[in-house]
Amino acid sequence: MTRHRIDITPPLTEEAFFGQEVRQIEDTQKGSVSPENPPTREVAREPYLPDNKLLEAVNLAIALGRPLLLQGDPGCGKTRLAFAVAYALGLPLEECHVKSTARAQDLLYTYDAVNRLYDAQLGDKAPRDAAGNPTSSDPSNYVRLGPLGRAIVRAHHGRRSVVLIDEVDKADLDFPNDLLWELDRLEFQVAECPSMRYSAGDDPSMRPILFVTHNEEKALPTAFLRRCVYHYIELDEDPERLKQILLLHEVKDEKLALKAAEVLKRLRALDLTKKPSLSELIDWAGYLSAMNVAPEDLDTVPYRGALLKQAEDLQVVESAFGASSATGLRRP
Amino acid sequence: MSDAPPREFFLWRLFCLVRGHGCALGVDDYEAMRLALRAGFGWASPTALRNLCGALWAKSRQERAIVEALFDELGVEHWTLPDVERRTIEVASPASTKAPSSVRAVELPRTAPTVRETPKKGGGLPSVPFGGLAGGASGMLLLPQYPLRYREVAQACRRLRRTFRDGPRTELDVDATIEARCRRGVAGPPVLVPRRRNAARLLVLVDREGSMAPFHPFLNDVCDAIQRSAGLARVSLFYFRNCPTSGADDVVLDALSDDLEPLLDPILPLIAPHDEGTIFEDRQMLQPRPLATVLEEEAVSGSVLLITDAGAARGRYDVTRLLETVAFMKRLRALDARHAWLNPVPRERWSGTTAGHIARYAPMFPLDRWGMRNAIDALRGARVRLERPV
Repeated sequence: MTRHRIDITPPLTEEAFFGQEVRQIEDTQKGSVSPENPPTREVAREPYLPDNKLLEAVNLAIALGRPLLLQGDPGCGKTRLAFAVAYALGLPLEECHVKSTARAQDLLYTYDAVNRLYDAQLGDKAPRDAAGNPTSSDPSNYVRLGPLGRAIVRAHHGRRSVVLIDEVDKADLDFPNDLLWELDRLEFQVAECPSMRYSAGDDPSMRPILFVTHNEEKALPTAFLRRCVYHYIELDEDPERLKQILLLHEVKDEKLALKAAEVLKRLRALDLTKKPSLSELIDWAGYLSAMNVAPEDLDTVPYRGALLKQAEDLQVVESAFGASSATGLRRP
Repeated sequence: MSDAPPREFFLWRLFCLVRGHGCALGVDDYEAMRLALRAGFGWASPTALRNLCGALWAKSRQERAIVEALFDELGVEHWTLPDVERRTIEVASPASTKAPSSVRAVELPRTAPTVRETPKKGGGLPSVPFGGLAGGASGMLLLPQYPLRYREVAQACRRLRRTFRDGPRTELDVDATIEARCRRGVAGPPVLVPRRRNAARLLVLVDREGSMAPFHPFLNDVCDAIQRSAGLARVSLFYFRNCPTSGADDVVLDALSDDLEPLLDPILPLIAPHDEGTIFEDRQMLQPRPLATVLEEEAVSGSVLLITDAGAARGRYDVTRLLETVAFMKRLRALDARHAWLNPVPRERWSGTTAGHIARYAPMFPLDRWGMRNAIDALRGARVRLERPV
């Protein structure tokens, strides 16, 4: 168990997020993990500008080996952080998007009992494996690993990965409670096939890095919260900083980016039911850049449907900024 | 060094203070803090240490504000390391996974770090001699501590379940599959059934204004907790003033004796069900809805939870109010709705008031942890011993 040992790999710095455009990272699309020489694929860089507090929190979570619990307004970059950190460290990313029907065991593995039953009934026509034995005789043929299971198996084989558990509060209350043992010890065993035991091992630098995002819809159990490092991602409304973030995405014009950031700051100062968030700003600015809108035209907030999603907010903005001049048609 | 006894480490003091303010922390969390300090986090400045405490010990924005406020109160101004000596420690390279070394090559201080806590200028008062704690200048940290907490409400309301299967068929029904297989004689597709869902509905009626005004912050908290955490199919929240119904027929009261505190028992069978009245959707009581409509929509075969002091706050007994309440209870019974009453005033103050009388007719409990559980049990159908059930 590695809970009480510190991971001594060098901490992440901001420069790591601005490396090459494309890297070769292990492919996580396959259902299984090969013990050595895994197939790789090209992964594009994730544009992300972390601030210092966030970097400290990420480094702290990696050093202590605890999951990083991220909270923040929708659209502030909780999910994309996991992609950015995985790219910066050159590690494969396992994503798990939690649904309300999710069970904790599915995160580790799923066992297909029904197919095994069918194959067992087929007799001579049953599918056979390479050695000529029917596949239904070996339960490990019907075990499919889940994201956290694959990460632990990869650590078992000596490679590190990043795991993202997205929107953990969507699931039942039992979901985080069922994960406590596995998160503590980072090992699991397939109940239907006792020979399959995997453990992340004793090396702290092999521990999978976990990111858990939380939408604050439901309260999480304290036993789960205790094991996490917590960080709340605030949106920094400073126009200079937002301009930097927009330049990382597809916005080429600096003046347009700065003006869009200022308009966002003014919009957020109004009394809106849902304030526009960072991801909406990025979408809006990207569209403005593609449409070659001049920065001076942004005072009327054109294409405001990308920023404001409620009828009351549109009315408030109309009374503050006037009716929008853009109709959404492409300019010639 | 003077002969004074060694002061305890200020982070331990902070840890105890944070625990005292309601954050659920254990020794493991303090160990994690020490581990993080050994790993080199939090040494750059007092702000970095403050952020480290917030990241490790707080699990929500509110807790983070508490931790940071307590840290500021400690008044740590200089967080410096004296001469440090570098110890060469073999660093385990990532390639050799067998290397057992786990200590990070960090500068370890030879002596304990000095923390100079500058005492604030207190305007001529003598300095208080406990532990050199600098006086907090940031004002008081006030936190509400209600008799009933969020978590207790959540745990109680979670027991209100009425499960039924509805929605897309996603779960395997093993018995039905086996039975279908045996019937057909050949392998067939598995039989799926929809997931269980909680169909329990709760209508919460809260007394507002007047004698309930002191309890507003407490009740706001409790209502928010019920709405956010109950996990029920539907929670509807309405507000009323004094009594949900009004205008019940009080001719029957003429048959009562002339006592100062008459019991309604003799005329109980004569009281007709009554559901006319106005309740409000919002806390400011500006959006009225007729009670009869709301009951038809929400309370039929459902559960109704009433939170009211029923006269116990002012210690009054009002026969008309009791009559209205009994008429309302009869109407609820006609709609096949279970109801339970919660009273923020403690039980000792109910006797001689309307609340004491209502408690004889209907399950009424004080608004604390056990009262909430008992009320939810009553809504689940548990038998409650009443002196004179309606």
